[in-house]
Amino acid sequence: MEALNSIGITSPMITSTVITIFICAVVIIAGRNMTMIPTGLQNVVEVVVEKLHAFFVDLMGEYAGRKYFPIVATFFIYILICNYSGLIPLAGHLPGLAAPTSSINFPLGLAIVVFFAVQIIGIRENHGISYYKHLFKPFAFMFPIMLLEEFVRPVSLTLRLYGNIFGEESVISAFFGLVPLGMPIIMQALSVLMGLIQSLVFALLAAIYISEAAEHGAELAAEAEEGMKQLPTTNNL
Amino acid sequence: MVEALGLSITEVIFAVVNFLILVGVLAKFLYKPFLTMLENRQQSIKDAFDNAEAVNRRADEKMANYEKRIANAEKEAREIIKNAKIKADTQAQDIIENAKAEVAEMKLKADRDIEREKERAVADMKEQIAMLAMMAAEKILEKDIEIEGQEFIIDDIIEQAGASKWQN
Repeated sequence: MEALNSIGITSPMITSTVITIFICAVVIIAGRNMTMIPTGLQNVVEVVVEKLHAFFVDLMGEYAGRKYFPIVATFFIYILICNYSGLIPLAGHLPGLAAPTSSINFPLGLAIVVFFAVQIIGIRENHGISYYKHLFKPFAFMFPIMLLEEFVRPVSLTLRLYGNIFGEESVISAFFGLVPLGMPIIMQALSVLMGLIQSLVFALLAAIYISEAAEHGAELAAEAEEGMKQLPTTNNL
Repeated sequence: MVEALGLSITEVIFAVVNFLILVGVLAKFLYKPFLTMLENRQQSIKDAFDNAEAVNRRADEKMANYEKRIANAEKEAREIIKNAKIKADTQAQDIIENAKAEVAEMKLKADRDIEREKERAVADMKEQIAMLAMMAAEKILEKDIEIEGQEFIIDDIIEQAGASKWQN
């Protein structure tokens, strides 16, 4: 482990890699022999995908929800499993096993992805840098504040996730030191809820930012759909 | 400062790369195939419901048609039975009338036969009586009566016998 540390490979990196491989393996196995009537793992994965899809489409709207579902759903799944990896006994103490989200670098990395995803989606959906017009709204003099808000978003995302998971793990560790039996179990039960809430909050905020960026595209799509609906009526006339 | 905050550019890049790989893999192996499967299933269920509805509608139509036909068949059957009954009654009436006519004819014939037999019996009886009368006369006269030239006497006796006294 020390040899890996010496070349810059840390426990959260190893755990996150294992988690990535685990998720990929589960997904590939679940989707290997898909049948019309689902059974076993396919059934479980289908339920997860269906519920997440319905949730994000409901939150982001039909256009952005369908288009950017993969990225926001992956945030949720990845962060949830990263959070839960901290519930494995002796996580953070065993070499190579630490919840990636308890290190500030992983939430920061994910927040950076959100930041750039929002910029790219905004530019693409608005067909250019006209996306940045929103920084001058409602008043041009508010530009510095709006710009600051843009940069504060990833910072808030990072600190919220990191702070909650790090704090929760610190509390569990402290309680484990004080009362080794009983109390840590209660805290771990709360951690299950906390891990879910934090992953949901991160994915939810990312979804809101992305849907805001894709708002113009959604409006264009809605107009195009309206036009398609009116087309047969016009033809009939 | 970066190190003081515990920041590591390597870990950040690692997190970004890991996440992007995961998004790529999940988009290819999870979201696309599973959402397609869900849409297909939704479509197939919708089709199944539509088909079931169409089949139900056809079944209802057939049922109504059959019920109508059954009602018509019952009506026809009742009509046939009624006609058959009327026909049977007519035939029975005819048979009875025919039988009556036949009986009447047979009775008439029997009456005629009886009359004829009666006449024949009376004629036979007259002949017998004539013979008896002749025998009686022979006995009384103690001599044979010559048949030749005496027939009028016999005929006279027969006439007398065949008149009212010997009847019934």
